[in-house]
Amino acid sequence: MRKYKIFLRMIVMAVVVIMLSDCQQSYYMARNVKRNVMTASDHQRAVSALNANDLSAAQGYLTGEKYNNRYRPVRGTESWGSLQYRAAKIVTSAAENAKNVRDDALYLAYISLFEAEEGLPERPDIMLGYMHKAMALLLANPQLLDKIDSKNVSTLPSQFTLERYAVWQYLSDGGEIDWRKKAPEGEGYTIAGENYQVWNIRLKKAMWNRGDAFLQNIGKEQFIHDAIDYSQFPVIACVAGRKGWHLTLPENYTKQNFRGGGSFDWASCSAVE
Amino acid sequence: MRLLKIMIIIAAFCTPFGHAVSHRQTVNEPAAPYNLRWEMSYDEARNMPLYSLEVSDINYAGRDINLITSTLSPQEVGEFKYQEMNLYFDKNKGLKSIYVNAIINDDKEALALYNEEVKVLDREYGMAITKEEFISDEKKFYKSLNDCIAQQQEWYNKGLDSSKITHCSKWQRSYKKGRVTVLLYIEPRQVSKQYIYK
Repeated sequence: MRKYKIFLRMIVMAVVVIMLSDCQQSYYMARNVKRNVMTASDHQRAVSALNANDLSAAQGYLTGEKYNNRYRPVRGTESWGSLQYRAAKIVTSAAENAKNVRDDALYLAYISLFEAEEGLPERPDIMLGYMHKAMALLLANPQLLDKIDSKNVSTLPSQFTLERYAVWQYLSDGGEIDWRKKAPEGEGYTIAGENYQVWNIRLKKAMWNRGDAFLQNIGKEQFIHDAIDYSQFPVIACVAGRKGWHLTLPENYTKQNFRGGGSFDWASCSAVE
Repeated sequence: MRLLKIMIIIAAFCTPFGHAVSHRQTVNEPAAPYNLRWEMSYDEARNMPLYSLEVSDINYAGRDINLITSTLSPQEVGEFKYQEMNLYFDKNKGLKSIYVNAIINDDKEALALYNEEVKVLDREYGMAITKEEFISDEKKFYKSLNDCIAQQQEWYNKGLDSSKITHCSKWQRSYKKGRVTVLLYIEPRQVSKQYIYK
């Protein structure tokens, strides 16, 4: 009799667990359906607003006040990143034509155009110019991004952005990175044949008064390592070759499939779509 | 009376002379090292420019709210013997202290750096005002220093006066000239030098 009771209890427990997990599954299904509908709708509205060169929509897109349901890419249509680029272009060209543009949206537009590597491969100064303007806006008003509340928007220049900014600027200033250089014996942390203290001084100099303040809360060693390491990525190696910058690549440098990245076209210095 | 006159005459001669001596002393006061300037503000130092200078303040109870602690890569000011450098600024009075530190695993190398510094400091600051250079076992230099620290800690924990410990190994000296004091010392596995402007 006792055994029978225990067995019955186990069956009841199993049924309850199955019912609960079903419940959770149907919750996720319902939530995903809702998100998919919202995502498709926001995407469509964003595309038509940006097609119409709508400045307010472009600013709202960048600050995340509008079209914030970006849960997944919408298959067969323009990517969210491409919409971001278009919104940034609308905002920056409005600012250039002396239209009234919100500073936070303008900052995000400049950052987006830097990240989109605007001006490459011939004019790296263009993307760097956008970054200088973004940093100047943020330094002039540290509360600039305080009103932004969106998971799609970063309210601080990201570590990766700052790393790229530092190394692009360093090389375009005439700085040297030689991957064939050997570090002297007994040196502590080194990368590309130089110790981290030397890189710290050089990279800080490249970002002097235009963003070095934001490095305060970033791990210095990782920042230095990643920034210098980034000079081996095809886009920077390709542009450096074209501009005659002082970048010497390692002897066994592989031009293709760099660290799991896709194919790269060295004639146009851009990734193959 | 005659004696008094003589004394007045001597005093009259001595006063300007004494003044000149004290004046000359401030003029002779060594400048801050590394092309820095005592009493310069943090921003003045940063705008020299010193690219690697950055604030490294850590908040703790009782911290002097006017103190700015900052770090600098020693290489930027041509200092290659030390790996670490701190500059201390007072928000009102400016640069007031410079600290450098070298991590050295070999005690012979540590002593060599210490002696090299002594030569330079003797020349710039004159005789050391304090000298505590006693080691219980010269062959185990770092261990002797370590033992002394351990003993001081033990006495302190027991509530005893650790200044009364005898034969405690130490290797340190200090200099003073004008408003500048320099401390030079070896601790287990490291050599430090600190300039203090008061």
